[in-house]
Amino acid sequence: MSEGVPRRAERLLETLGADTEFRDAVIGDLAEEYEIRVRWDGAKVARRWYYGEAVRVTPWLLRDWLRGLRWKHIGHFANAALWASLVMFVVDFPVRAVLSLFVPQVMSGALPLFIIAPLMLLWTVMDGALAGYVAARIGRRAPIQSAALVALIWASLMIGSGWSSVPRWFLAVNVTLMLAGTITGGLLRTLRVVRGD
Amino acid sequence: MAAPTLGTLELTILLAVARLGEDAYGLAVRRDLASRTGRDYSVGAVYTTLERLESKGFVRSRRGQPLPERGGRSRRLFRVTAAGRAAIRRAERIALQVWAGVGTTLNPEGT
Repeated sequence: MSEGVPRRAERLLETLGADTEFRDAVIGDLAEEYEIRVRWDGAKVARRWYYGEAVRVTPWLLRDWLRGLRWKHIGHFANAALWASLVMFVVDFPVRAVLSLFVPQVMSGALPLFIIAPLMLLWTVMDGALAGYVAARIGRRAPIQSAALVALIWASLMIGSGWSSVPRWFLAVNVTLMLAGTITGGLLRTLRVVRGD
Repeated sequence: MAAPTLGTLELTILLAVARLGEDAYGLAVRRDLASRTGRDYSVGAVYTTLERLESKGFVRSRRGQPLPERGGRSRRLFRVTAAGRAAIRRAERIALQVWAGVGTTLNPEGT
């Protein structure tokens, strides 16, 4: 880890799973230029530049990761996605069961949707974050991608399952929050390693 | 077998590596390109192109010493191979043939 370089951004770039030689060359260049920019422009400007460059190089690192992807890596991902989904399902099932008790009252209009909806949406974020965290922990070779894979699987399940009986806007908000929660969970796990250094 | 072809960015980066000699690595190449073309290429784009040039046999890479200013990482140093030099000469020859006669068309009064 470079001295002075925004460590979280550097850590995220490292975890994108690109080939070691490519990744080290890219991150090393960014660190070297960052040091120069700190001297020229000051730490604040250099830091902003670093974040911008980190965003710019992300697609290239992901591209390199995709090119190096082999069947054994896919198995690793599937394993992470499976365990995270299992955790998500086990934790989610009782909560959804309780919440579903209120569905008939909501459908009949006896209970306004705006009362139960925030609870369901909040739970969606928390459940997604938990699944993302677990996926990133198990799929540590590419934690963000593992979390993203779980998010995509669950988004597909939500769209394709009985969720179609709820209003479309509610489904859209739910899927969006679940995606955001899962990716956030993955990021939290990845950045936790930085704090633990 | 036909020689591998060179795209515009590939040729631009290959020329930068040739100019920089022994000191060619991503950051130096980016600076050279920025000063000559005015474009700020992403470090990812530069290394992806350098890897493509290496797979075509036009450049060869080696790792330098680990440096503290790079967080203990090494520079990946590139140099042009004989095939790369031949590709540059070929590209120059083609460019001269393609450009031949264009000057008089663009600036007829000057002739």
